[in-house]
Amino acid sequence: MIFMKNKYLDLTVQMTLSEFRLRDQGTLLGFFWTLLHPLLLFLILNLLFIKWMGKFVEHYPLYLLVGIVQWNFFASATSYSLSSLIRRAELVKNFTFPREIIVVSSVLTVFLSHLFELLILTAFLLLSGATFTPLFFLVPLIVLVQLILVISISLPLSALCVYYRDIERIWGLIVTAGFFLTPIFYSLSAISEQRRLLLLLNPMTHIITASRSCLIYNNAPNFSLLGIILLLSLLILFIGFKIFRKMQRKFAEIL
Amino acid sequence: MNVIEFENLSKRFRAGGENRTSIFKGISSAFTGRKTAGAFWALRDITFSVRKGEIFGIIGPNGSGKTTLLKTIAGVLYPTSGVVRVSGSINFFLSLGAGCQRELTGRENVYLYGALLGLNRGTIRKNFDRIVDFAGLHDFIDTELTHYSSGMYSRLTFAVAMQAEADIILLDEIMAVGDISFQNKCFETIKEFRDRGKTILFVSHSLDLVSEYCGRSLYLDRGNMVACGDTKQVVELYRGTPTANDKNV
Repeated sequence: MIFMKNKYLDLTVQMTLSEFRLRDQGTLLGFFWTLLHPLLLFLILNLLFIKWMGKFVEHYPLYLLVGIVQWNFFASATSYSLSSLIRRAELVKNFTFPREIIVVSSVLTVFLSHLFELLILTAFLLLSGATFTPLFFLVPLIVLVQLILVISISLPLSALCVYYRDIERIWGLIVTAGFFLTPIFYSLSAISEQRRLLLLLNPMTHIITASRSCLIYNNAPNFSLLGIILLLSLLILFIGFKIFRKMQRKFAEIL
Repeated sequence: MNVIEFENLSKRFRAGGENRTSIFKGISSAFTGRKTAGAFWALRDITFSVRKGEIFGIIGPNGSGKTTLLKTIAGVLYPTSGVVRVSGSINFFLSLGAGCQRELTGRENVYLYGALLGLNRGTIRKNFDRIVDFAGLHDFIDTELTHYSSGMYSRLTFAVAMQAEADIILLDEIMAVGDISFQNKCFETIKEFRDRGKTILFVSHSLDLVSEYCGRSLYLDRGNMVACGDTKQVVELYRGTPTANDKNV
């Protein structure tokens, strides 16, 4: 695909780094600002649910934290890259490099913050008594699947968003709904059988569950489920890429 | 040998309204059958060609389609009908400072802008000193772009753009900013490019510059091709004709 070419790889890296620097003001302080939102969410949910959900879930605070961090990447990366073509309209109008680089570098910008968050999360886990197991090494694999999933969603959505600006609002609603339809602060076992199906159809459920089994519970994740998500993401990515290519001819005019 | 060929090329833009469409609007218009009206031809039935090694001028009043023409050559815009054939790689310099991040330093922007033009990091690093020399921005290279004047802005981006090796170079009104000495430097570079067999397309409102440097020129008015050929005659025709703007007066 396009990333075979070295110059496009350079461009992706260059755009990601400069956007990252601007987004977090390039400072440690700026980075802590982005941490504030998930942290606040964690403190509140933990306060409210530790008594109740603690009955179903072992190590509830850690369970909650992993859920929030993983969901936060999905939510903020898709939302941020959704409007990337509109935000960088001047690039679309004045350069001819493949437009998907704009979307991908936006995802990667958020991904960089996510990597730092994961580092902090791991440090926190170890400090709070979790033991380091070889399963920790599987986390990058899970995160990679998650990244591909996010890009596969972001590509077609960002292209559509050029034509239909209200996609951004609609996606905002979907993400809000998604937060409650993913076992982030509650556990799957607390949900009745029939309704559980709804949650199991959500790929983020499995990504978060797999992350928790590796990081907290020292259980091997369900590889076949992760494999299915990966294949599905690749399929969506392929279709999304086709849609994107087809639509991109008009980007420069519409923006 | 022709490196750029236009054959009956037309480009239509949809005007206003439709730019900010929404799903709700789309659904409602599907029911009411109402189409967002308004389209105009930015280019109409353009046929001309540019030979290898030429400096080719494009002139015409504001809104005549000069930039649209360059953008269809560059491949940013696609023609509505007709064809444009380009043989060779293109480097274009359309709008000043597009792609730069004002909050980053000159140095960081050199790398960023270079990457946008398709230069890899190694090439930029190798030519970094030359770029800064050309732009004459030694003292400001670690200053954020916010503090740059528009002239400094254009010097920096132009200096980077000229590092990109390409067979065809498109320049859109680059002389609007920058002082005399920088302008001269630019034209030295442009002539040097021509001597190396590169083709340069050059949009300008300065008829003097076009007369001085371009062998042949194209005169556009409201998307139509008025004349194409020897610059002297084309410029004379342009000087003699009342433009769209004048007519309104």
